[in-house]
Amino acid sequence: MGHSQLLLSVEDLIIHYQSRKSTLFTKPEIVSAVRGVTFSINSGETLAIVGESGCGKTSIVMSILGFVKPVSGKIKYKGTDIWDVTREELRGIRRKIQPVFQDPHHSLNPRMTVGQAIEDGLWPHQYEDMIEKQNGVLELLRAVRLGKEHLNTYPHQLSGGQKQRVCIARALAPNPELLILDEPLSSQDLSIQATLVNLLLDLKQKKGLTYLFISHDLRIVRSIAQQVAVMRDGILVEVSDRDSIFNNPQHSYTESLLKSSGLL
Amino acid sequence: MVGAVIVLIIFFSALGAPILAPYDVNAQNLTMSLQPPSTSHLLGTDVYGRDLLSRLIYGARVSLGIGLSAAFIATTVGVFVGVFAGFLGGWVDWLLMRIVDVLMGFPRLVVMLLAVGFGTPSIWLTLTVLGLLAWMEVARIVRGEVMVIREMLYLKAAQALGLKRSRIIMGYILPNVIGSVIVSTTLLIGTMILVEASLSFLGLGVQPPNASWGTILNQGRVDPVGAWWISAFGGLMIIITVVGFNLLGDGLRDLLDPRSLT
Ligand SMILES: Nc1ncnc2c1ncn2[C@@H]1O[C@H](COP(=O)(O)OP(=O)(O)OP(=O)(O)O)[C@@H](O)[C@H]1O
Ligand SMILES: [Mg+2]
Repeated sequence: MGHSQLLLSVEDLIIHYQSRKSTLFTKPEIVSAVRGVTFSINSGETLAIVGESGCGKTSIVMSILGFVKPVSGKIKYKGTDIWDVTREELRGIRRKIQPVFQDPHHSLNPRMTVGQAIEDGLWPHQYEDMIEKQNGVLELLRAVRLGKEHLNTYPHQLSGGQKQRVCIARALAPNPELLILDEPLSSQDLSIQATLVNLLLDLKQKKGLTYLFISHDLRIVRSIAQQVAVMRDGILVEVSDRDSIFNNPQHSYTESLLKSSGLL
Repeated sequence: MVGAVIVLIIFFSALGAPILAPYDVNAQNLTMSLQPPSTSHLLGTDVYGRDLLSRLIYGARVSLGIGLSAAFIATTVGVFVGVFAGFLGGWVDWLLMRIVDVLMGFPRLVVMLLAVGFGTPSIWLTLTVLGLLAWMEVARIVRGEVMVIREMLYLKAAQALGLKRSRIIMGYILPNVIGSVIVSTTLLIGTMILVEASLSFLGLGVQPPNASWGTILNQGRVDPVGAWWISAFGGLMIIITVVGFNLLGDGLRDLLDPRSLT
């Protein structure tokens, strides 16, 4: 299975934003969102990053996906620095790293049906003909427990939970190895959260996926992650396996997070 | 949708001109010169005894035709430039927007007068000049929308799928800007009709004996005082049509608002 194979490594990542354009008279205002973050994920594992709103979690995600250029640091997928490849190579790597975002309402093109959205994830040459492609789409819909009846619906006709399933199906379409789930459940009702957690656990096992799971809900993290990284103000204060984090937290910030969610 | 009704009525009377017009457009009848509105000539006649109603109906063909084509040219160029600037960003965006700034800085009427003055006034020249002078506004609107869409999560998701730029533009960007493009095109048609009318009024657009609303208006100015009906009905047609297109544009804006979709 190659369980201990290193899939993704993030080394000393630093991300700044310019919140204001510099003019002749003012210096640009710099927000330092990520201030030196290092972690790695082995193939088949789930690493969770937990931390309060605004601590820099999504910034890390956007940088791994190739959208936000870091000031310094390296992001390596299977040893390849994703910020040091050609556009064409990046296109190939990207398909292996698929995101699911927090807000499913803005994650789907309002002018595309569910079927079209998922179909775009399948590469044309992946399938022999239209019928086979259509079957591929249906299979993905079934994998997220949606059906044929959703094929021709538009996003605004779906509930939040259904939209998130479509996003997961689309993310699975290019046969990714790593799924980056950026707070995929926090916009959902509690009952839907539970079913989506089960779905994610199930998919991971069936398809041998690796997860980078971003959350601020420690209860969900405990049920899904093997490794946990605790983040505050742009740095990771503690990275450890799940049991150590939950039973024997080393950092006072981890402790206070556990306390405030009633887990300690 | 009062706007839609007005626009449709004018559109169909332009189409059905040969059937609807009570007289031949260019048939002169000097014994009937400058007749005020009556039962035989509902809107009166001009100095050559031509029926004004018939000329206005035929004029709708020319004025609408120019308005539609000029707006079409402007929209096509504007969408093209706006999508490229907004999607590619960087120096491409910078360069295109500076060109837009410079062109918008020119006083439109002066450029038009120059262009028309150097060439021979004709329908084609009017049309091309109008279209090429109006695309900048469309380009700015489209660029703004594209820059918003570029930051949307669904676009990030599409890029993460490794889709080609062409696919992202055709499938994700254009369908989401088309609503505001339709609105601005509709408003633009009204503006173009108005500008065509002012050009023809100045004698620099459509040339007599071709009837356009602008040339009819011009005739009302040249013709002896007292023939009020020529300017009055010519002006009324222009106002009704421009208001019609503006109302239609506003109506479409509400109808196509993406907020009513999601
Ligand atoms: N595009 C941007 N421009 C300027 N500042 C930004 C930008 N994106 C994020 N930031 C800032 O960077 C910091 C980290 O934001 P980020 O979205 O990474 O946090 P987060 O941990 O994902 O928060 P949340 O839990 O609310 O999603 C915040 O202070 C935020 O205001
Ligand atoms: Mg976030």
